[in-house]
Amino acid sequence: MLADISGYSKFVAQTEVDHSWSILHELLETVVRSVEGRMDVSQVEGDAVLFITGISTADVIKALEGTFVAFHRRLRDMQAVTTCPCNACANIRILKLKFVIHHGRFSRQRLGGVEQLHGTDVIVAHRLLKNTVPSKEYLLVTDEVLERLPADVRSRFTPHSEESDLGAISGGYEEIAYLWHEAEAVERKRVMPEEAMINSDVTRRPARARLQADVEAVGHGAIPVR
Amino acid sequence: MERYLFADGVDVLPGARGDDLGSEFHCHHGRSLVSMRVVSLEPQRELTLIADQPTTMHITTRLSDARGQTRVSRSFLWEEPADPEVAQSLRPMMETMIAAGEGAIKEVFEENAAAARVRAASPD
Repeated sequence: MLADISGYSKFVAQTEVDHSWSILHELLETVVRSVEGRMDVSQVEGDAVLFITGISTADVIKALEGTFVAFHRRLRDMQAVTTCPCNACANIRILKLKFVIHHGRFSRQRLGGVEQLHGTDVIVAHRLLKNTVPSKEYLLVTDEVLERLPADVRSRFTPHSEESDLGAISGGYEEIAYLWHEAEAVERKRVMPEEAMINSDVTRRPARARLQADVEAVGHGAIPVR
Repeated sequence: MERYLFADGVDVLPGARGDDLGSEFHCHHGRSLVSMRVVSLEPQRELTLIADQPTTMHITTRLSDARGQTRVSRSFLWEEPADPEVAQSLRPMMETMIAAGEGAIKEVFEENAAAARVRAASPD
């Protein structure tokens, strides 16, 4: 599975390097953390992360839907808290997230102490990063993924095919921008007292009561008098 | 945070751009884990957390000035479990938890007040 932050090249070209790097770093961290324990990072490839996983294909789709929402929530929060007027910070919102998912075989090779995944199926996934999908935020999956999905999930994908040096790669895509719109629409920001199931109030005792307690404490020797 | 949440340990993950907004608290209670995230924040005034246990729950904590005293007001709203029996057993559990939280807040108030008295009473 490849998670790819699109718009990043343009973002870097137009913005300050230091801040654009810290923004990318934070967003990739958010992506990685959102699938922690379910997918393993194989490699960070600039603005993309290559994951491998042994969980079911349906669970991969479900996990990535959560990742997508977590990514946009972080983008929104980053924009909310930043006071920096630089181009990088002002243009956070142009960043988008897309996913390429393929099911296949690979071997692990070490080169210069770094483990690399090797095999045609790894190349297939990477070839699909550059594609003609008419959307900026989507799940692009191959037939090998589609055939492992339950019918109701599979039906959400629009058939799609890409030509590459490996030949035609067919599968389907699903636009996923709606996931964040739906999640954000129902996201609660606060609980008002009148809608709460339980309210709780704690107030520091009034000064007079505290003074009385202090006097008693001093009387009992609990507080030294100097 | 450990005291307020009655946790054995709390892992804190920083929020957006290192700020509190979006930060997460992973609270370890024995072998179980409760995750909380800051969903909104008005520094010094209001904080809202979403928790994933025992059911999805929002907690808004407000600080206000009550005639010169600090008031901590908390509002709790949770998703009712579909099972009526579970839903029914949840409320008393929440009431106990909220009362325990009140106790923890009062303890902190008392400790701070005691520390202030000690400072005031010290010669320098």
